[in-house]
Amino acid sequence: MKRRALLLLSAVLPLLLSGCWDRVEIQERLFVMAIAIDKNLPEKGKRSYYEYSAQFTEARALSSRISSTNISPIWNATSTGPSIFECIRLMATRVARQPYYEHLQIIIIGEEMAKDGISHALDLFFRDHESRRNIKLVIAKGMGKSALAVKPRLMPVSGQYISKLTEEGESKTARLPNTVSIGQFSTNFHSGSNSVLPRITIEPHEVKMAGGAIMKGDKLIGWLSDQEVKSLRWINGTFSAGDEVILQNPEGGIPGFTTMEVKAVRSQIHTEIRNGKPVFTVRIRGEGNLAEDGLKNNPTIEKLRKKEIQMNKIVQRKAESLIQRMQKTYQTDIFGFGEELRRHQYAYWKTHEKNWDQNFKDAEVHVSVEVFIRRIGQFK
Amino acid sequence: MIKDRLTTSQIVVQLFAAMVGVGILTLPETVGAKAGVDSWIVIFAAGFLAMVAVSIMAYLGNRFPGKSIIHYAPTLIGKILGTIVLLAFLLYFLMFVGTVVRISADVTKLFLLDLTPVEVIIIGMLTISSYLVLHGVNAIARFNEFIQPLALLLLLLVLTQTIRDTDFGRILPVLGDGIQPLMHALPSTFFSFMGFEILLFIQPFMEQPRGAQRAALISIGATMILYVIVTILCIAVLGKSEVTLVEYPTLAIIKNIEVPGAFIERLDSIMMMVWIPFAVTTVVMFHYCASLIASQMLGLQEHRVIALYMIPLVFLIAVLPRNILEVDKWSKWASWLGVSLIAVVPIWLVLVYKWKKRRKSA
Amino acid sequence: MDWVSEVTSRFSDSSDFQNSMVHIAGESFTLCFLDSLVDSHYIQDHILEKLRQNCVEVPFSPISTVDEAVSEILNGNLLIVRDCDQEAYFAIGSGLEERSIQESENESALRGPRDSFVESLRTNVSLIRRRYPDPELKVTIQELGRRTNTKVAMLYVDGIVNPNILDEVRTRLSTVDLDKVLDSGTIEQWIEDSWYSPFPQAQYTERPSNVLFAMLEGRIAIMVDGNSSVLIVPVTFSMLFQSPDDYYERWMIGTAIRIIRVAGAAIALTLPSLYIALISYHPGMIPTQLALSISAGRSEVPFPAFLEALFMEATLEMLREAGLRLPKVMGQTIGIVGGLVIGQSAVEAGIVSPVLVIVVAITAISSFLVPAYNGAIALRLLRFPLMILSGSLGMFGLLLGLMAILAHLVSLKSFGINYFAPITPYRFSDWKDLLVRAPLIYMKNRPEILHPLDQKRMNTQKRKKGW
Repeated sequence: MKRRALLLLSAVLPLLLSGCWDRVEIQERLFVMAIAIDKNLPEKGKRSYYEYSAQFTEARALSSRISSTNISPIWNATSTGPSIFECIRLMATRVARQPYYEHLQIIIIGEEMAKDGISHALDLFFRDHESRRNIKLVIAKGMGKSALAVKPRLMPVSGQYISKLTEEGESKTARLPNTVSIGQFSTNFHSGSNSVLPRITIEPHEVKMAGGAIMKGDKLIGWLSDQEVKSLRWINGTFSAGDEVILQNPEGGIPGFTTMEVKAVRSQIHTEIRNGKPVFTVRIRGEGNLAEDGLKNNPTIEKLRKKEIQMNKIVQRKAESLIQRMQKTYQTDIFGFGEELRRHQYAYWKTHEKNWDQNFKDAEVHVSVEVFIRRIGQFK
Repeated sequence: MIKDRLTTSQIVVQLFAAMVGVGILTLPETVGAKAGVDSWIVIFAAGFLAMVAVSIMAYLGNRFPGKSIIHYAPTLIGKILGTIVLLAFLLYFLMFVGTVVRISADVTKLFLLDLTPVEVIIIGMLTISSYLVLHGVNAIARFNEFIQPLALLLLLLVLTQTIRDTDFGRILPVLGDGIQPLMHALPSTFFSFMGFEILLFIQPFMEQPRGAQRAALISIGATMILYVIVTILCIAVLGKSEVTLVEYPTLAIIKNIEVPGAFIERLDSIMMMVWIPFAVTTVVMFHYCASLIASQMLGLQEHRVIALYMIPLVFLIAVLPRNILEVDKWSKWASWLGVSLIAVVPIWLVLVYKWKKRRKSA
Repeated sequence: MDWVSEVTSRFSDSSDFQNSMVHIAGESFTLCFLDSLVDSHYIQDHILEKLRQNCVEVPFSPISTVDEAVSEILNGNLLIVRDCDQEAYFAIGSGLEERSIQESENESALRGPRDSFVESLRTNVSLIRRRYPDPELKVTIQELGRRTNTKVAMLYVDGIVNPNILDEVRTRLSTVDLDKVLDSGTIEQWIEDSWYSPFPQAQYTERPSNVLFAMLEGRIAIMVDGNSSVLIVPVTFSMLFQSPDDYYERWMIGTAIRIIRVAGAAIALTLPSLYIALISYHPGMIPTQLALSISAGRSEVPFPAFLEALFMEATLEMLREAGLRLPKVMGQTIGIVGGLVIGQSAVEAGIVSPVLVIVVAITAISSFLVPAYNGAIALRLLRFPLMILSGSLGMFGLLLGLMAILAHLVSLKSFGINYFAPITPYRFSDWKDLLVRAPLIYMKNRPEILHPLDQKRMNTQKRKKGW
């Protein structure tokens, strides 16, 4: 028996020694930090559709181990082809090392591409085992490619810069929508919901990330301004740190503004079917503190109460106007009302699932806002 | 000399090892495709069915202390029928081993070893499993006792990290589409519980065979809870429609996680480390039972030689299917064969036993 | 029978054989002995003195056969033949100088008794007897070795040790048929369960307290004459991580140290292979920043991670072996110099990456955490197959290797005891002394896996405090 086991072992071991099929040393891999997918405007006789740009990083140059001047830490390579896979393969004709996508941080989609729909462009990344589901997804105003070419001041790799920006921005301000990973986008898209992706605008040395791209399914149909994104995040109740609300002081004066910092906003969407029509009641509750003066150095309960009411009104008005805009202009439910219906009014949802965006247009939405100012800081 | 028998806790772990295998990666998808957000109800239902089935088996085993189905099936239903039943079991086990090995090798290839021939991965797994099978059921039990709790613990630890991405509202509404889809999902859900039927074969090795039923129930209960947790988490993270689109939802939700600052950043690698042992232990149990049937039917003293002769056969079953969809088809055949055996044989044997006993007492 | 000529012929060509004639009170005696084994002063002062006192009834034990006489002489005793009637007696020789009892060098301890065994079986047995003055401590001595006739003692505590295990050990010992039994290692290899296992299936120790401790748990000690290390059987895998010091210290400290040891063993076993797997196969599992810096560090290394790691690990083992053979002071120097110089210059020459040097260093330190040397070396050895596996199949290979080791461990037995017990099969009452060293009063029972006849270790009810 032992002899047999030994025999088996000796049959296996040489196999192993001849193996190493998958061995690629770490320094032979070329880490791809970010990619941009743009639409390639069709020319005559060419079947290319995508313009695919990848940002490769050279670790040696990043750690300044080499002094050769023709080696730079990052290289943005671009190729065009009818499929992303083809583009990646085309890149292999020019890159001497093996591109490695497991460290991919962010995918930037160009505006034109986004208008055509992005699900087919992302299909490879859903499918491929090398890609993580938490790769971030942003839409660039203009060409995505140019976002990669940005030379940020503080970080060597622009892809990392943009990816960090989404994370930091999300937790520090409400001006950009929640970070969306390709996994989340896939979840939204495949369940028939719409999503709002972060928007970036590109400048030579920086990228501004504010506002959002309205995706109907996987197609870009319009932009949200940063103020609208703020309202969206109020409605969704998904920010824990960071919106500020500026209130005009009725008494006037200079500067004449009070600024509140609002944290921990939660919202509840209550659904109801009235006369065969869905009615949504959005209850937004939040907490905040006084961030900057405006109460003339002497906050009292009454003054605070007034400010709270003033603030609630502003937020409510903004939220309602956003909802109306989405209902009238875009007829797109980006708030997840449909999902709420599925959860709580399944019978209605089952019959109206197919044309929900049409029904959304006529839905009745009520918004109520309640924000409490809890603290005034360390100064009267 | 100090004798080795299977303790009750070993039976719990053995059955758990046999049940939890490759299915844990795909279960949410197979169930979710048919039952949607109500998958967890189906899993509970299938678990209870499995509990009923295993109780019948334990009842049977208790009537024939020290004997396995290999002995009492021929005495109860006659030599020819008994042989046919045992051969069916043998076929089922071999098919099962083959497909499980193939599926696990395919997944390993997909996520860890892209270019390595699938044959090498299969041989690697079969080597481990054969080594254990050669050392008998006690060594297997000890192996499982060590590796299952460890793997389970790691798995749960990894799964806790997905909580951040969950939205448990996605599991609503409960029973929105009624009972109908649940019934459709039941068979394929039941497939993922299969493995407890090895109790028919290993019960005589127990220290206290009377405790078999309790052990089996605990084991199925644990499996059921694990499956429910995994499925609910998958639906809560991915949503109903995405779960049915992703090939390996359990891996997908773990791929969502990023643990900043840890040495190993990506937990899906840990998931693979957990999952491969799960797959291997399933293979070991079935391989052992198959060789047990074959050797005892041939009247051999030992199961070892026959266990080795089975390896080429299993290897062949594993490499024959052309692609993953075909593997699924094969595994479905094996599962249906298994289900029919589990459903029919124990009840049949119990009825025959009762009838014979009544005739004897009359 | 002419005793003297018979014996002399047996010892022909042995220059240390002496037969000298003495005349005492008109009687003549011939003394035959090996002067290499007997101190001549002792003969003068004691034996001849006794003879002088009473030379009619010789105050020594009579002897009847030549074989007996020869074996007595070989044991360092004297053969005394009265020439007139050719009556033979033997007198106990004093024995020669032996190493005095010293502090153990190989097993140093901070606390607890420090004495260690020496080469003499008698002294060694006395070290145990002195600590355990009770007739239930049994010492059975037998001679083993086809030619060397070495005395081998089996020590156990009657009433604790399980008779099944005892019988098994006794049977195995009685089958020893070797031409030489020079050390306990030879015996160990003869009686062990599985010779194709890298894991030690007997524990050895130089400290009497360890032996006593093991015997009181229900184990059996085997002493070999002329050997200062004593075997303890049966053993389990968990014993690799146990040291008597754990019991002398407070339980929390003992527990913490054990956890460190287990972690050290795990690191020593897997870290190089993990490095290979991550570097060569799955860089995606490393955090991005770390991956970038490792990649930069390895940019000039021309070898695959496997060869790189193999090179460094092999160098490490060479250094260790060289340090072991060299005189103690020099050994340390060689180790430090070799490690530093080779590590430093290998990195500078671009043969290995800096991260690997860290990995190798951590591995080396970790491997010394395991208290049992034979266990530590097994783990160090197994590191290499694991490296081959992960070098060819990455993480999957590493996992296969670990599972193979586990499969081997669970199928191994030591004198009928499962080697991997009490980890599996679960013996929860023994888990108090596994990864955790429970507080003393919780370890009421002896290890269940050894099936001791007397379970109870203590009676905690008698424990009282004044206030």
